[in-house]
Amino acid sequence: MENILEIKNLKKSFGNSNFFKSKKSKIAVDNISFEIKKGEIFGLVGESGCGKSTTGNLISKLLNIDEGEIIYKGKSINGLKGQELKNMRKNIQMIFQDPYHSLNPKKNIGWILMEPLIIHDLYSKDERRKKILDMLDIAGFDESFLDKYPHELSGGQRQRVAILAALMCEPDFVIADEAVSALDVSVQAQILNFMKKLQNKMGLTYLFISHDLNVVYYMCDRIAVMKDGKIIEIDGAKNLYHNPKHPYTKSLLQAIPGRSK
Amino acid sequence: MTIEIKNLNIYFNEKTKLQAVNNLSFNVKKGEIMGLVGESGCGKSLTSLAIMRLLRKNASFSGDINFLGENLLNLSAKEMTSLRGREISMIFQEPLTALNPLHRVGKQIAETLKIHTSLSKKERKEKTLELMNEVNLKDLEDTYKKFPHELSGGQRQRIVIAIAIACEPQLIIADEPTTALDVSTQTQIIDLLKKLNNKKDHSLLFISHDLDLVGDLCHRIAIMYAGHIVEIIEKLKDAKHPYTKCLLDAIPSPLHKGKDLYSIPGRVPTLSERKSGCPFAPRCPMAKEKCHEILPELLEKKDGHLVRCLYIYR
Repeated sequence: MENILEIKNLKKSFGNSNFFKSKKSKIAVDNISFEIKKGEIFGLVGESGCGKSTTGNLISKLLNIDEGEIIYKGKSINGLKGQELKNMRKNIQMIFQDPYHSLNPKKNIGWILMEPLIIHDLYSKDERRKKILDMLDIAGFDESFLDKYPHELSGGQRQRVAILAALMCEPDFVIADEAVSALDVSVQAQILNFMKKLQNKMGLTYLFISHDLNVVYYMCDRIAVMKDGKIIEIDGAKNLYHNPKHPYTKSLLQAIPGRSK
Repeated sequence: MTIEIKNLNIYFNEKTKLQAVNNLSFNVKKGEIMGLVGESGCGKSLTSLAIMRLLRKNASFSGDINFLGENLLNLSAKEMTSLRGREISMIFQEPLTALNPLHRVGKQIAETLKIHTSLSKKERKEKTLELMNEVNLKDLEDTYKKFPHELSGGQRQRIVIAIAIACEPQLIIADEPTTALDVSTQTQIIDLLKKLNNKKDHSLLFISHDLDLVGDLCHRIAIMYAGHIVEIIEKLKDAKHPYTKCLLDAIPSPLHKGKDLYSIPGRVPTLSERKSGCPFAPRCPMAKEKCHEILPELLEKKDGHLVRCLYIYR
Protein backbone atom coordinates (compact mmCIF):
# COMPACT_ATOMS: atom_id res chain seq x y z
CA MET A 1 0.00 0.00 0.00
CA GLU A 2 1.32 3.44 -0.89
CA ASN A 3 1.92 6.09 1.72
CA ILE A 4 -0.50 8.99 1.73
CA LEU A 5 1.49 10.91 4.30
CA GLU A 6 5.11 10.77 5.38
CA ILE A 7 6.50 12.69 8.27
CA LYS A 8 10.23 13.08 8.60
CA ASN A 9 12.09 14.42 11.65
CA LEU A 10 9.35 16.85 12.57
CA LYS A 11 10.19 19.40 15.27
CA LYS A 12 8.19 22.15 16.92
CA SER A 13 8.88 24.18 20.01
CA PHE A 14 7.03 26.98 21.72
CA GLY A 15 8.35 29.71 23.94
CA ASN A 16 8.14 33.33 24.74
CA SER A 17 10.25 35.70 22.75
CA ASN A 18 10.40 39.43 23.35
CA PHE A 19 12.32 42.38 21.98
CA PHE A 20 15.54 41.61 23.83
CA LYS A 21 15.72 37.88 23.62
CA SER A 22 14.09 35.13 21.72
CA LYS A 23 13.96 31.79 23.41
CA LYS A 24 12.26 28.64 22.39
CA SER A 25 11.89 26.77 25.62
CA LYS A 26 9.17 24.10 25.47
CA ILE A 27 9.76 21.42 22.88
CA ALA A 28 6.30 20.16 21.92
CA VAL A 29 7.21 17.81 19.10
CA ASP A 30 10.70 16.39 19.16
CA ASN A 31 12.02 14.80 16.02
CA ILE A 32 9.19 12.44 15.14
CA SER A 33 8.87 10.39 11.96
CA PHE A 34 6.12 8.10 10.78
CA GLU A 35 4.13 7.35 7.68
CA ILE A 36 0.45 6.71 7.14
CA LYS A 37 -0.74 4.36 4.42
CA LYS A 38 -3.66 5.08 2.17
CA GLY A 39 -6.96 3.84 3.57
CA GLU A 40 -5.80 3.06 7.07
CA ILE A 41 -6.77 4.49 10.44
CA PHE A 42 -3.64 5.59 12.22
CA GLY A 43 -3.95 6.22 15.95
CA LEU A 44 -1.91 8.69 17.97
CA VAL A 45 -2.22 8.29 21.75
CA GLY A 46 -0.61 9.90 24.74
CA GLU A 47 -1.40 11.91 27.83
CA SER A 48 -2.22 15.61 27.79
CA GLY A 49 0.73 17.74 26.83
CA CYS A 50 2.57 15.00 24.96
CA GLY A 51 2.35 16.83 21.64
CA LYS A 52 -0.28 14.75 19.86
CA SER A 53 -2.56 17.67 19.03
CA THR A 54 0.43 19.78 17.98
CA THR A 55 1.35 17.04 15.52
CA GLY A 56 -2.18 17.13 14.09
CA ASN A 57 -2.07 20.92 13.79
CA LEU A 58 1.33 20.79 12.07
CA ILE A 59 0.05 18.34 9.46
CA SER A 60 -2.95 20.51 8.66
CA LYS A 61 -0.64 23.53 8.61
CA LEU A 62 -2.52 25.32 11.37
CA LEU A 63 0.95 25.68 12.88
CA ASN A 64 4.25 26.27 11.13
CA ILE A 65 6.96 23.67 11.23
CA ASP A 66 10.30 24.47 12.88
CA GLU A 67 12.25 21.65 11.29
CA GLY A 68 11.54 18.52 9.31
CA GLU A 69 9.29 17.68 6.42
CA ILE A 70 5.71 16.60 5.81
CA ILE A 71 5.16 14.80 2.53
CA TYR A 72 1.58 14.42 1.36
CA LYS A 73 1.06 12.17 -1.68
CA GLY A 74 4.73 12.41 -2.64
CA LYS A 75 4.92 16.20 -2.42
CA SER A 76 6.32 18.26 0.42
CA ILE A 77 3.74 20.59 1.93
CA ASN A 78 6.28 22.66 3.87
CA GLY A 79 6.44 25.70 1.62
CA LEU A 80 2.91 25.70 0.23
CA LYS A 81 1.33 29.12 -0.24
CA GLY A 82 -1.78 30.69 -1.74
CA GLN A 83 -3.82 28.51 -4.09
CA GLU A 84 -1.67 25.43 -3.51
CA LEU A 85 -2.18 25.67 0.24
CA LYS A 86 -5.91 26.07 -0.28
CA ASN A 87 -6.02 22.95 -2.44
CA MET A 88 -4.08 21.01 0.16
CA ARG A 89 -6.50 22.13 2.88
CA LYS A 90 -9.36 20.86 0.76
CA ASN A 91 -7.82 17.40 0.87
CA ILE A 92 -6.70 17.40 4.49
CA GLN A 93 -9.58 18.16 6.86
CA MET A 94 -9.92 18.27 10.62
CA ILE A 95 -12.58 17.21 13.11
CA PHE A 96 -12.28 18.81 16.53
CA GLN A 97 -13.18 17.70 20.02
CA ASP A 98 -16.00 19.96 20.97
CA PRO A 99 -18.89 20.32 18.54
CA TYR A 100 -20.25 23.11 20.78
CA HIS A 101 -17.35 25.32 19.72
CA SER A 102 -16.55 24.14 16.21
CA LEU A 103 -19.94 25.08 14.69
CA ASN A 104 -20.92 28.71 14.14
CA PRO A 105 -23.88 29.32 16.50
CA LYS A 106 -25.37 32.03 14.28
CA LYS A 107 -25.59 30.01 11.08
CA ASN A 108 -27.98 27.20 10.24
CA ILE A 109 -26.86 23.71 9.28
CA GLY A 110 -27.49 24.34 5.57
CA TRP A 111 -25.07 27.27 5.64
CA ILE A 112 -22.49 25.37 7.68
CA LEU A 113 -22.47 22.57 5.12
CA MET A 114 -22.56 24.96 2.16
CA GLU A 115 -19.61 27.11 3.28
CA PRO A 116 -16.80 24.67 2.40
CA LEU A 117 -18.26 24.26 -1.11
CA ILE A 118 -18.37 28.03 -1.61
CA ILE A 119 -14.83 28.52 -0.33
CA HIS A 120 -13.43 25.93 -2.69
CA ASP A 121 -15.82 26.92 -5.48
CA LEU A 122 -17.11 23.43 -6.14
CA TYR A 123 -20.25 22.50 -8.10
CA SER A 124 -23.03 24.70 -9.43
CA LYS A 125 -25.79 25.97 -7.17
CA ASP A 126 -28.20 23.08 -7.83
CA GLU A 127 -25.49 20.48 -7.55
CA ARG A 128 -24.44 21.93 -4.20
CA ARG A 129 -27.91 21.46 -2.77
CA LYS A 130 -28.03 17.90 -4.06
CA LYS A 131 -24.58 17.17 -2.62
CA ILE A 132 -25.64 18.50 0.79
CA LEU A 133 -28.81 16.40 0.77
CA ASP A 134 -26.78 13.32 -0.17
CA MET A 135 -24.44 13.92 2.75
CA LEU A 136 -27.33 14.50 5.15
CA ASP A 137 -28.78 11.22 4.00
CA ILE A 138 -25.59 9.35 4.96
CA ALA A 139 -25.85 10.80 8.46
CA GLY A 140 -29.51 9.83 8.68
CA PHE A 141 -30.81 13.41 8.76
CA ASP A 142 -33.70 14.66 6.63
CA GLU A 143 -34.11 17.90 4.72
CA SER A 144 -35.68 19.77 7.66
CA PHE A 145 -32.25 19.79 9.28
CA LEU A 146 -31.00 22.41 6.86
CA ASP A 147 -32.92 25.15 8.66
CA LYS A 148 -31.92 24.16 12.17
CA TYR A 149 -29.29 25.91 14.25
CA PRO A 150 -26.55 24.18 16.25
CA HIS A 151 -28.21 24.88 19.61
CA GLU A 152 -31.27 22.89 18.52
CA LEU A 153 -29.22 19.72 18.09
CA SER A 154 -27.93 17.22 20.63
CA GLY A 155 -24.20 16.71 21.16
CA GLY A 156 -24.10 13.65 18.94
CA GLN A 157 -26.01 15.32 16.11
CA ARG A 158 -23.72 18.34 16.34
CA GLN A 159 -20.62 16.18 16.06
CA ARG A 160 -22.13 14.44 13.02
CA VAL A 161 -22.72 17.85 11.40
CA ALA A 162 -19.11 18.83 12.19
CA ILE A 163 -17.91 15.61 10.54
CA LEU A 164 -20.14 16.18 7.49
CA ALA A 165 -18.83 19.73 7.14
CA ALA A 166 -15.28 18.39 7.17
CA LEU A 167 -16.16 15.85 4.48
CA MET A 168 -18.12 18.14 2.13
CA CYS A 169 -15.21 18.66 -0.28
CA GLU A 170 -14.43 14.96 -0.33
CA PRO A 171 -11.02 15.07 1.32
CA ASP A 172 -8.92 11.94 1.35
CA PHE A 173 -7.19 12.55 4.66
CA VAL A 174 -9.01 13.44 7.87
CA ILE A 175 -7.42 14.38 11.19
CA ALA A 176 -9.79 13.60 14.07
CA ASP A 177 -8.47 15.33 17.17
CA GLU A 178 -10.22 13.82 20.22
CA ALA A 179 -13.37 13.66 18.09
CA VAL A 180 -15.35 11.58 20.60
CA SER A 181 -13.85 12.66 23.93
CA ALA A 182 -16.60 15.13 24.81
CA LEU A 183 -19.43 12.67 24.11
CA ASP A 184 -21.37 10.23 26.25
CA VAL A 185 -20.79 6.51 25.84
CA SER A 186 -23.90 5.78 23.79
CA VAL A 187 -23.30 8.80 21.54
CA GLN A 188 -19.63 7.92 21.25
CA ALA A 189 -20.61 4.54 19.83
CA GLN A 190 -22.86 6.23 17.24
CA ILE A 191 -20.07 8.56 16.11
CA LEU A 192 -17.43 5.82 15.94
CA ASN A 193 -19.74 3.67 13.80
CA PHE A 194 -20.52 6.69 11.65
CA MET A 195 -16.83 7.44 11.09
CA LYS A 196 -16.16 3.83 10.09
CA LYS A 197 -19.11 3.86 7.70
CA LEU A 198 -17.83 7.03 6.04
CA GLN A 199 -14.38 5.56 5.74
CA ASN A 200 -15.73 2.57 3.82
CA LYS A 201 -17.95 4.74 1.66
CA MET A 202 -15.48 7.45 0.74
CA GLY A 203 -12.16 5.65 1.05
CA LEU A 204 -10.84 7.96 3.75
CA THR A 205 -7.61 7.82 5.65
CA TYR A 206 -7.84 8.91 9.28
CA LEU A 207 -5.30 10.20 11.73
CA PHE A 208 -7.16 9.44 14.94
CA ILE A 209 -5.81 11.40 17.90
CA SER A 210 -7.08 10.39 21.33
CA HIS A 211 -6.10 9.76 24.92
CA ASP A 212 -8.47 6.82 25.24
CA LEU A 213 -6.62 3.61 24.46
CA ASN A 214 -9.76 1.50 24.29
CA VAL A 215 -11.27 3.74 21.62
CA VAL A 216 -7.99 3.93 19.68
CA TYR A 217 -7.56 0.18 19.79
CA TYR A 218 -11.12 -0.31 18.56
CA MET A 219 -10.77 2.15 15.66
CA CYS A 220 -7.18 1.91 14.44
CA ASP A 221 -5.07 -0.35 12.28
CA ARG A 222 -1.78 0.99 13.58
CA ILE A 223 -1.04 3.00 16.73
CA ALA A 224 1.77 5.35 17.72
CA VAL A 225 2.32 6.20 21.39
CA MET A 226 3.70 9.64 22.21
CA LYS A 227 5.39 10.84 25.36
CA ASP A 228 7.05 14.23 25.93
CA GLY A 229 7.03 15.06 22.23
CA LYS A 230 8.63 11.80 21.12
CA ILE A 231 7.09 8.74 19.57
CA ILE A 232 8.14 5.85 21.76
CA GLU A 233 6.38 2.97 20.06
CA ILE A 234 4.62 2.31 16.74
CA ASP A 235 3.02 -1.03 16.07
CA GLY A 236 -0.04 -2.74 14.66
CA ALA A 237 -3.02 -2.20 16.95
CA LYS A 238 -3.33 -5.84 18.07
CA ASN A 239 0.37 -6.20 18.77
CA LEU A 240 0.59 -2.97 20.68
CA TYR A 241 -2.48 -3.68 22.80
CA HIS A 242 -1.70 -7.27 23.69
CA ASN A 243 2.05 -7.24 23.54
CA PRO A 244 3.46 -3.78 24.30
CA LYS A 245 7.24 -3.41 24.28
CA HIS A 246 7.88 -0.03 25.87
CA PRO A 247 7.38 0.24 29.65
CA TYR A 248 5.40 3.47 29.23
CA THR A 249 2.94 1.79 26.86
CA LYS A 250 2.60 -1.01 29.40
CA SER A 251 1.84 1.41 32.21
CA LEU A 252 -0.71 3.24 30.04
CA LEU A 253 -2.46 -0.02 29.24
CA GLN A 254 -2.48 -1.05 32.88
CA ALA A 255 -4.12 2.22 33.83
CA ILE A 256 -7.23 1.50 31.73
CA PRO A 257 -10.10 0.91 34.14
CA GLY A 258 -11.83 -2.43 33.81
CA ARG A 259 -8.89 -4.08 32.07
CA SER A 260 -8.11 -6.36 34.98
CA LYS A 261 -11.45 -8.11 34.62
CA MET B 1 -26.48 3.58 57.37
CA THR B 2 -24.73 6.89 56.71
CA ILE B 3 -27.22 8.44 54.37
CA GLU B 4 -30.61 7.39 53.15
CA ILE B 5 -32.40 9.18 50.35
CA LYS B 6 -36.13 8.57 50.06
CA ASN B 7 -38.38 9.69 47.20
CA LEU B 8 -36.27 12.67 46.23
CA ASN B 9 -37.87 14.81 43.52
CA ILE B 10 -36.22 17.83 41.95
CA TYR B 11 -38.17 20.27 39.79
CA PHE B 12 -37.22 23.31 37.77
CA ASN B 13 -39.35 26.25 36.75
CA GLU B 14 -42.20 27.27 39.07
CA LYS B 15 -44.93 27.16 36.41
CA THR B 16 -44.24 24.08 34.32
CA LYS B 17 -42.60 22.02 37.08
CA LEU B 18 -40.13 20.27 34.81
CA GLN B 19 -39.02 17.24 36.74
CA ALA B 20 -35.28 16.48 36.59
CA VAL B 21 -35.10 13.79 39.28
CA ASN B 22 -37.99 11.41 39.94
CA ASN B 23 -38.63 9.54 43.18
CA LEU B 24 -35.01 8.77 43.78
CA SER B 25 -34.32 6.36 46.65
CA PHE B 26 -31.06 4.80 47.65
CA ASN B 27 -28.74 4.60 50.61
CA VAL B 28 -25.04 4.53 51.34
CA LYS B 29 -23.88 2.32 54.21
CA LYS B 30 -21.06 3.16 56.57
CA GLY B 31 -17.67 2.63 54.95
CA GLU B 32 -19.23 1.82 51.61
CA ILE B 33 -18.23 3.16 48.20
CA MET B 34 -21.42 3.73 46.27
CA GLY B 35 -21.27 4.53 42.57
CA LEU B 36 -23.81 6.69 40.76
CA VAL B 37 -23.50 6.43 36.96
CA GLY B 38 -25.40 7.71 33.98
CA GLU B 39 -25.05 9.84 30.87
CA SER B 40 -24.98 13.61 30.99
CA GLY B 41 -28.32 15.11 31.94
CA CYS B 42 -29.57 12.08 33.86
CA GLY B 43 -29.63 13.94 37.17
CA LYS B 44 -26.65 12.43 38.94
CA SER B 45 -24.94 15.71 39.74
CA LEU B 46 -28.26 17.30 40.75
CA THR B 47 -28.66 14.53 43.31
CA SER B 48 -25.27 15.31 44.82
CA LEU B 49 -26.06 19.02 44.89
CA ALA B 50 -29.38 18.27 46.60
CA ILE B 51 -27.56 16.32 49.33
CA MET B 52 -25.23 19.28 49.86
CA ARG B 53 -28.21 21.68 49.59
CA LEU B 54 -26.36 23.57 46.89
CA LEU B 55 -29.17 23.56 44.33
CA ARG B 56 -29.89 26.86 42.63
CA LYS B 57 -32.82 28.97 43.73
CA ASN B 58 -34.94 28.09 40.71
CA ALA B 59 -34.97 24.43 41.72
CA SER B 60 -37.56 23.07 44.12
CA PHE B 61 -37.43 19.68 45.77
CA SER B 62 -39.38 17.26 47.91
CA GLY B 63 -38.59 14.02 49.73
CA ASP B 64 -36.26 12.98 52.55
CA ILE B 65 -32.51 12.89 52.83
CA ASN B 66 -31.73 11.27 56.16
CA PHE B 67 -28.18 11.82 57.25
CA LEU B 68 -27.26 10.48 60.70
CA GLY B 69 -30.86 10.77 61.88
CA GLU B 70 -31.53 14.25 60.54
CA ASN B 71 -33.45 15.25 57.44
CA LEU B 72 -31.06 17.50 55.53
CA LEU B 73 -33.88 19.08 53.55
CA ASN B 74 -35.36 20.54 56.78
CA LEU B 75 -32.16 22.11 58.11
CA SER B 76 -31.71 25.87 58.14
CA ALA B 77 -29.02 27.45 56.00
CA LYS B 78 -26.87 28.06 59.08
CA GLU B 79 -27.09 24.47 60.31
CA MET B 80 -26.28 23.26 56.82
CA THR B 81 -23.18 25.47 56.60
CA SER B 82 -21.77 23.95 59.75
CA LEU B 83 -22.41 20.48 58.35
CA ARG B 84 -20.74 21.09 55.00
CA GLY B 85 -17.05 20.30 55.14
CA ARG B 86 -17.37 18.84 58.65
CA GLU B 87 -19.75 15.90 58.19
CA ILE B 88 -20.26 15.89 54.42
CA SER B 89 -17.64 17.12 52.01
CA MET B 90 -17.33 17.20 48.29
CA ILE B 91 -14.66 16.63 45.65
CA PHE B 92 -15.39 18.32 42.32
CA GLN B 93 -14.37 17.51 38.79
CA GLU B 94 -12.14 20.44 38.00
CA PRO B 95 -9.66 21.16 40.82
CA LEU B 96 -8.55 24.39 39.19
CA THR B 97 -11.99 25.92 39.63
CA ALA B 98 -12.56 24.30 43.03
CA LEU B 99 -9.46 25.97 44.47
CA ASN B 100 -9.07 29.69 44.99
CA PRO B 101 -6.35 30.89 42.61
CA LEU B 102 -5.30 33.75 44.91
CA HIS B 103 -4.52 31.74 48.04
CA ARG B 104 -1.70 29.34 48.76
CA VAL B 105 -2.93 25.75 48.75
CA GLY B 106 -1.74 25.02 52.28
CA LYS B 107 -3.78 27.90 53.58
CA GLN B 108 -6.85 26.60 51.78
CA ILE B 109 -6.59 23.26 53.58
CA ALA B 110 -6.05 25.03 56.89
CA GLU B 111 -9.08 27.22 56.25
CA THR B 112 -11.43 24.25 56.58
CA LEU B 113 -9.80 23.39 59.91
CA LYS B 114 -10.10 26.99 61.07
CA ILE B 115 -13.83 27.04 60.41
CA HIS B 116 -14.73 23.68 61.88
CA THR B 117 -12.22 23.00 64.66
CA SER B 118 -10.76 24.86 67.62
CA LEU B 119 -7.13 24.15 66.77
CA SER B 120 -4.54 26.90 67.20
CA LYS B 121 -2.72 28.34 64.21
CA LYS B 122 0.35 26.20 64.82
CA GLU B 123 -1.67 23.01 65.29
CA ARG B 124 -3.57 23.77 62.09
CA LYS B 125 -0.36 23.96 60.11
CA GLU B 126 0.87 20.68 61.60
CA LYS B 127 -2.43 19.02 60.82
CA THR B 128 -2.36 20.42 57.27
CA LEU B 129 1.09 18.98 56.62
CA GLU B 130 -0.11 15.68 58.03
CA LEU B 131 -3.09 15.72 55.66
CA MET B 132 -0.88 16.56 52.71
CA ASN B 133 1.31 13.62 53.59
CA GLU B 134 -1.77 11.44 53.78
CA VAL B 135 -2.75 12.25 50.19
CA ASN B 136 0.79 11.37 49.03
CA LEU B 137 2.06 14.85 48.26
CA LYS B 138 5.83 15.34 48.33
CA ASP B 139 8.00 18.27 49.54
CA LEU B 140 5.34 19.22 52.05
CA GLU B 141 6.73 22.57 53.29
CA ASP B 142 7.38 23.64 49.71
CA THR B 143 3.99 22.59 48.35
CA TYR B 144 2.25 24.24 51.31
CA LYS B 145 3.37 27.63 50.01
CA LYS B 146 2.46 27.07 46.35
CA PHE B 147 -0.46 28.51 44.43
CA PRO B 148 -2.87 26.21 42.56
CA HIS B 149 -1.51 27.14 39.13
CA GLU B 150 1.95 25.97 40.15
CA LEU B 151 0.75 22.41 40.69
CA SER B 152 -0.09 19.67 38.21
CA GLY B 153 -3.67 18.44 37.74
CA GLY B 154 -3.07 15.37 39.88
CA GLN B 155 -1.46 17.38 42.69
CA ARG B 156 -4.32 19.86 42.65
CA GLN B 157 -6.87 17.08 42.94
CA ARG B 158 -4.86 15.72 45.91
CA ILE B 159 -5.15 19.13 47.58
CA VAL B 160 -8.91 19.07 47.02
CA ILE B 161 -9.06 15.59 48.53
CA ALA B 162 -7.00 16.77 51.52
CA ILE B 163 -9.55 19.56 52.07
CA ALA B 164 -12.37 17.03 51.81
CA ILE B 165 -10.92 14.67 54.44
CA ALA B 166 -9.62 17.43 56.75
CA CYS B 167 -12.44 17.19 59.29
CA GLU B 168 -12.89 13.45 58.97
CA PRO B 169 -16.41 13.63 57.51
CA GLN B 170 -18.85 10.74 57.54
CA LEU B 171 -19.67 11.11 53.87
CA ILE B 172 -17.60 12.29 50.92
CA ILE B 173 -19.27 13.02 47.61
CA ALA B 174 -16.93 12.82 44.63
CA ASP B 175 -18.47 14.26 41.47
CA GLU B 176 -16.45 13.06 38.45
CA PRO B 177 -13.18 13.59 40.35
CA THR B 178 -10.97 12.06 37.65
CA THR B 179 -12.69 13.12 34.43
CA ALA B 180 -10.30 16.02 33.85
CA LEU B 181 -7.22 13.88 34.50
CA ASP B 182 -5.04 11.59 32.38
CA VAL B 183 -5.41 7.83 32.70
CA SER B 184 -2.30 7.21 34.75
CA THR B 185 -3.06 10.12 37.10
CA GLN B 186 -6.62 8.80 37.30
CA THR B 187 -5.34 5.44 38.55
CA GLN B 188 -3.29 7.16 41.26
CA ILE B 189 -6.27 9.22 42.45
CA ILE B 190 -8.57 6.18 42.45
CA ASP B 191 -5.99 4.20 44.46
CA LEU B 192 -5.76 7.09 46.89
CA LEU B 193 -9.55 7.27 47.32
CA LYS B 194 -9.63 3.51 47.93
CA LYS B 195 -6.82 3.69 50.48
CA LEU B 196 -8.41 6.59 52.37
CA ASN B 197 -11.77 4.82 52.39
CA ASN B 198 -10.17 1.73 53.93
CA LYS B 199 -8.28 3.71 56.53
CA LYS B 200 -10.88 6.24 57.62
CA ASP B 201 -14.03 4.20 57.14
CA HIS B 202 -16.04 7.09 55.71
CA SER B 203 -18.71 6.50 53.09
CA LEU B 204 -18.02 7.62 49.55
CA LEU B 205 -20.61 8.52 46.95
CA PHE B 206 -18.76 8.34 43.66
CA ILE B 207 -20.44 9.99 40.69
CA SER B 208 -19.16 9.25 37.21
CA HIS B 209 -20.13 8.55 33.61
CA ASP B 210 -17.40 5.93 33.26
CA LEU B 211 -18.89 2.46 33.83
CA ASP B 212 -15.55 0.65 33.78
CA LEU B 213 -14.08 2.96 36.39
CA VAL B 214 -17.09 2.67 38.68
CA GLY B 215 -17.08 -1.10 38.23
CA ASP B 216 -13.48 -1.23 39.46
CA LEU B 217 -13.90 1.04 42.45
CA CYS B 218 -17.38 0.75 43.93
CA HIS B 219 -19.02 -1.78 46.22
CA ARG B 220 -22.47 -1.02 44.85
CA ILE B 221 -23.54 0.86 41.74
CA ALA B 222 -26.73 2.77 40.98
CA ILE B 223 -27.42 3.38 37.30
CA MET B 224 -29.52 6.41 36.42
CA TYR B 225 -31.42 7.26 33.26
CA ALA B 226 -33.51 10.39 32.69
CA GLY B 227 -33.98 11.15 36.38
CA HIS B 228 -34.78 7.59 37.49
CA ILE B 229 -32.60 4.96 39.08
CA VAL B 230 -33.04 2.00 36.74
CA GLU B 231 -30.82 -0.52 38.50
CA ILE B 232 -28.72 -0.99 41.64
CA ILE B 233 -26.15 -3.78 41.48
CA GLU B 234 -22.92 -4.98 43.01
CA LYS B 235 -21.18 -6.35 39.91
CA LEU B 236 -21.74 -4.86 36.47
CA LYS B 237 -21.56 -8.26 34.83
CA ASP B 238 -24.81 -9.22 36.59
CA ALA B 239 -26.61 -6.31 34.94
CA LYS B 240 -30.18 -7.12 33.96
CA HIS B 241 -31.74 -3.81 32.93
CA PRO B 242 -31.71 -3.25 29.15
CA TYR B 243 -30.23 0.24 29.54
CA THR B 244 -27.27 -0.99 31.59
CA LYS B 245 -26.69 -3.77 29.10
CA CYS B 246 -26.87 -1.39 26.15
CA LEU B 247 -24.39 0.96 27.82
CA LEU B 248 -21.96 -1.88 28.50
CA ASP B 249 -22.25 -2.97 24.86
CA ALA B 250 -21.54 0.55 23.62
CA ILE B 251 -18.14 0.82 25.34
CA PRO B 252 -15.35 -0.13 22.94
CA SER B 253 -13.45 -3.06 24.38
CA PRO B 254 -10.90 -5.49 22.91
CA LEU B 255 -13.77 -7.88 22.13
CA HIS B 256 -15.39 -5.37 19.77
CA LYS B 257 -12.36 -4.95 17.50
CA GLY B 258 -13.42 -5.31 13.86
CA LYS B 259 -17.15 -5.31 14.64
CA ASP B 260 -19.67 -2.51 14.71
CA LEU B 261 -20.30 -1.10 18.17
CA TYR B 262 -23.80 -1.37 19.52
CA SER B 263 -25.32 2.09 19.54
CA ILE B 264 -28.53 2.88 21.37
CA PRO B 265 -31.00 4.37 18.88
CA GLY B 266 -32.41 7.84 19.54
CA ARG B 267 -31.16 10.14 22.25
CA VAL B 268 -31.67 11.02 25.90
CA PRO B 269 -34.98 12.93 26.17
CA THR B 270 -34.77 16.52 27.34
CA LEU B 271 -36.70 17.52 30.47
CA SER B 272 -39.77 18.68 28.52
CA GLU B 273 -39.81 15.55 26.35
CA ARG B 274 -40.13 13.10 29.21
CA LYS B 275 -43.34 11.10 29.18
CA SER B 276 -45.07 8.71 31.51
CA GLY B 277 -44.18 5.05 31.33
CA CYS B 278 -40.71 3.55 31.51
CA PRO B 279 -38.19 6.34 30.77
CA PHE B 280 -36.08 4.07 28.59
CA ALA B 281 -38.99 2.56 26.62
CA PRO B 282 -38.64 4.74 23.48
CA ARG B 283 -35.06 3.54 22.96
CA CYS B 284 -35.29 0.07 24.45
CA PRO B 285 -34.75 -2.91 22.12
CA MET B 286 -37.03 -5.07 24.28
CA ALA B 287 -39.85 -2.57 24.85
CA LYS B 288 -43.44 -3.83 24.57
CA GLU B 289 -46.57 -1.74 24.36
CA LYS B 290 -47.07 -1.90 28.11
CA CYS B 291 -43.66 -0.31 28.74
CA HIS B 292 -44.84 2.99 27.24
CA GLU B 293 -47.76 3.16 29.66
CA ILE B 294 -46.59 1.89 33.03
CA LEU B 295 -43.59 3.14 34.99
CA PRO B 296 -42.17 -0.02 36.56
CA GLU B 297 -41.22 -0.04 40.26
CA LEU B 298 -37.64 -0.42 41.38
CA LEU B 299 -37.99 -3.96 42.73
CA GLU B 300 -35.56 -6.32 44.38
CA LYS B 301 -34.62 -9.20 42.15
CA LYS B 302 -32.18 -10.99 44.35
CA ASP B 303 -30.27 -9.93 47.51
CA GLY B 304 -29.70 -6.23 46.99
CA HIS B 305 -30.00 -6.30 43.21
CA LEU B 306 -32.77 -3.86 42.28
CA VAL B 307 -34.14 -3.48 38.76
CA ARG B 308 -36.76 -1.16 37.29
CA CYS B 309 -38.10 -3.09 34.30
CA LEU B 310 -41.38 -4.85 33.49
CA TYR B 311 -39.65 -7.27 31.18
CA ILE B 312 -37.35 -8.70 33.85
CA TYR B 313 -40.14 -9.91 36.15
CA ARG B 314 -41.76 -12.10 33.55
